[in-house]
Amino acid sequence: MNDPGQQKLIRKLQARDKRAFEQLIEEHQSRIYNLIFRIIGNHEEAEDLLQEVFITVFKKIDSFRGESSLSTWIYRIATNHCINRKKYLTRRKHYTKSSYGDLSEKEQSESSGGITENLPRPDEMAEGKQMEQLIQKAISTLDDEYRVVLVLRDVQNLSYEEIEQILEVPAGTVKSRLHRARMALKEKLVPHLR
Amino acid sequence: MNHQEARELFTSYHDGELNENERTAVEAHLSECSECNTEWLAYKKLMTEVSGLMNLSPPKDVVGAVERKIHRRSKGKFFGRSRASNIQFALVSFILVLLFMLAYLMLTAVNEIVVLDSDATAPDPAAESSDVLQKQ
Ligand SMILES: [Zn+2]
Repeated sequence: MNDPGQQKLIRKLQARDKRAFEQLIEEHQSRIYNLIFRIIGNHEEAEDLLQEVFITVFKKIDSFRGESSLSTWIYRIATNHCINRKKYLTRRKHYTKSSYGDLSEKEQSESSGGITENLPRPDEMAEGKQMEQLIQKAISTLDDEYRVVLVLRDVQNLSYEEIEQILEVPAGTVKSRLHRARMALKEKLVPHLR
Repeated sequence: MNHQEARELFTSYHDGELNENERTAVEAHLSECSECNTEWLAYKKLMTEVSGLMNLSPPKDVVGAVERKIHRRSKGKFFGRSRASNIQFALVSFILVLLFMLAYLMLTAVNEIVVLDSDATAPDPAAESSDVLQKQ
């Protein structure tokens, strides 16, 4: 990236400039928090991960070579943290609660099975917030690789090119994962989409 | 184009990633196939719902929490007391030390004067005030 403003910011970050680091956090915290929460589905874990992302940025800024934009690099750190944390939580069988209510171990490990049989019927629930909860719950049952692409594209509104750079996968892989993710999500939510 | 082929293109169709021919073919299939059209409507509804997910506010004081963690993990190397407050602290300490020294010097000086005074007036047994000062 040749953006001179960004070059300057990176040099300051590499010099461990406190103000520059604070500015970086202020600028990115909202988008990164939303990314993490939609992937991990739990506010406490998301808050802790958000801090870890910026700590990693602070620690690893010297290894940033500028092959991508700074925000792409931060997104990559964030998605890697999310995937690792999710694996850790599943392994520890610690991950039984989400901020949107309880998610059983079974539901967590089920990646392709439908969740709709456990959900209230459309006529049993009010619109709005409950739909939000249903979607969040359905997203959390997707496989990691599908969930991450879906959140990057449909929640964060990133371009295919940005997602390729963040995940370091070819364009075809992004497209096919995104398609699988959306179709799986549609199947899980189908009674609520009529 | 069959059902499967049409549905495989939903994502590219939705995101405007199809060429003219593919797009026409999908639209032709949707217009004549009610099953796929129902699927397409559900797909579009899903996309509307997902894009309408709330934008959440980040937690309070992320900066402070991150800096405290880095401070702790770096064993105080980073994000300790800032340079500005270090200078302030040094300045205040210096002034305090200076004041103490001044106060000490003044007290000793007063004592010496008193001692001198009382020496001078010692032969006078009536000098009560100097006796009192001397005891202090
Ligand atoms: Zn069809």
